[in-house]
Amino acid sequence: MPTREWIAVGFVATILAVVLPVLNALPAESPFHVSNFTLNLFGKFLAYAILALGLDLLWGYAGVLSLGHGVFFGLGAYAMGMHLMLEIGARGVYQSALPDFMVWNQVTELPLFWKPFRSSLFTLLAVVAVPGLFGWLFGFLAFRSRVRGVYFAIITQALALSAWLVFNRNELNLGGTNGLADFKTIFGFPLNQAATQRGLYVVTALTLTASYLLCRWITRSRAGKLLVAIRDSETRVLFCGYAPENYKLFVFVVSAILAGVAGALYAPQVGIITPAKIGVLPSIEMVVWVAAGGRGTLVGAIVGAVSVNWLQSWLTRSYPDVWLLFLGALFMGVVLFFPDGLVGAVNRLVERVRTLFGLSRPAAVHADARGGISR
Amino acid sequence: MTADSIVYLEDVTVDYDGFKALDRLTFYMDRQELRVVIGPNGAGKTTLLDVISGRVRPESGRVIFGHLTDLTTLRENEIAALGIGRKFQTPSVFVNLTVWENIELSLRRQSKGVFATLLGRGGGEDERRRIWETLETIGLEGKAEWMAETLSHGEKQWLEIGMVMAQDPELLLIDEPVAGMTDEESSRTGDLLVEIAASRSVLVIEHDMEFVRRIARKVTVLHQGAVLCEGSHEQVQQDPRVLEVYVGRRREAQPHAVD
Repeated sequence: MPTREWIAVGFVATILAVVLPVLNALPAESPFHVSNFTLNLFGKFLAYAILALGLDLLWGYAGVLSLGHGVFFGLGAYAMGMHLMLEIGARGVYQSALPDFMVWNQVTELPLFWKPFRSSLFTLLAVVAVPGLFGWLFGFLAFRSRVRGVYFAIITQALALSAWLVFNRNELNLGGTNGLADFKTIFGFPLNQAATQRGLYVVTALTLTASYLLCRWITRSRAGKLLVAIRDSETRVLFCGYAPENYKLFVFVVSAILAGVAGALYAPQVGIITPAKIGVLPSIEMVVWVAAGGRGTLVGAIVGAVSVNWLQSWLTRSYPDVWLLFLGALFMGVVLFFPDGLVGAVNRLVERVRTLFGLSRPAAVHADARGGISR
Repeated sequence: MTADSIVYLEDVTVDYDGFKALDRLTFYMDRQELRVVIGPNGAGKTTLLDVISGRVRPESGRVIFGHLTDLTTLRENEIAALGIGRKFQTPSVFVNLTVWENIELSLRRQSKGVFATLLGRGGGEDERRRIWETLETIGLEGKAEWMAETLSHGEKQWLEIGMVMAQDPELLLIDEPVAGMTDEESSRTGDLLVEIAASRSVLVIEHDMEFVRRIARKVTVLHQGAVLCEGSHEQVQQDPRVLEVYVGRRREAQPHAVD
């Protein structure tokens, strides 16, 4: 990456991972104090941004639209949630070693697939491996059969719907409609303490930074250019001697893992994970974040995830009825008027100002000017 | 089959739901030959290229590349890696990448697997030289940093030819290279193909008979999925069967820019 970009990344990462938590640690009377509520909200947004990065890699670069990334988010969140449930131990309402919902459902013994989640190490592995393996299997089957474009989007949507249905069932022993909640501690740290939440926030901000650098490294490599090539003409890629389905599978797995990690960071900060976070609607919302921020830019994915959710949390507090209408209008507006999203619109504005002052650069940098594909 | 054939199709049949696009076609080409295939619409010209490049699997017959390699069981990218390049009728280039990057991605490489491509950082001296030479051959050296999207139709066609050349193939399959080109562009394209054919085998499908006359040494006429006749441009034009195939379409003997 050019030095300027390193400086910019370092600057933003410092604000997010250092300055905000320090302001949060200030005494509440201080005018610069950031409330626990705000920091926690931001932790959630930044977790979403991690997912959005992966989605952008998949959709913005390789042109593969997934309407089912809520599933991978859910897999990561549930994996973490299961560990947190087991950490509760006998401190639950029923004072049983089993999670409360199991007692309620008259389950007498911890199901086998729950047992390894007692281990923190296994949980951290599962957060990456479960979404990764599931993404690999699903992607392998879909891409091998050359399912593309709209058809791929439709089967991912079907995946989201069926996952939602399955996770709602009590027989799965994952808490049914109510999901997993009432977590008490994470790796021994009490979740109701500000310091723990601050720590989780910092981990989220650092993970986001690392995820950005990973995605940026991919898009700058020759493989990154090939992803753009696949979006432009998959047939040409094939006849150039590449197997495009392997590349699509690769980014699909990367994006599934990022979604899973995002879910695992979400669960302890929000304190609950339910099937409602998995279904069709949340999966589509995720796509809207990327579209609103500007696809194919990575930065746009982060900006979109944070700003749309910020708007949502503000609107749902002040005008709870209009949020969904607003979300729909936002998506339509972006598609119709800002096809390259917020980042693209800003870039175009900058370019226009440059032209006005005679600072315009030649055609060679079209890609940057459109806020599009990184070079 | 001659000892020196680059590609050899024997008894190849392609059936699209009862329509025989190729009907027991037997066709071969020598190494370093520039061959033009003509024929009315639906004669099976593009299907012939599809069969060789792996896009379509024939119902029956053999497609042999070089001496031994049977292409009918291979995938498109495997066939490309063997040394068969394909240029499509409508320009198919990567419009969101620069001209340079288009060529860079097309270059022949040891491995085109995901991890090799992910880890392989571009730009060895040798690689830059190869890209530069290709750009000079297709006359786009002045536009290396341009987005392919901003090229004219003719330039995109050349870029795609350059991409196919960058794969360093032994055999190039080229589908209607001058469709939609100006006369000057056609003429440059003709020179380009003749230049390429000096060191490789080139199979061109073309409708434009003026263009065919310019470049062809040997012409094959396809009709209803089989070879009607083969020979020099003059021989073919005077063949009564060829006349008959094109009769009703045009009163003169010259089949011209159908499509």
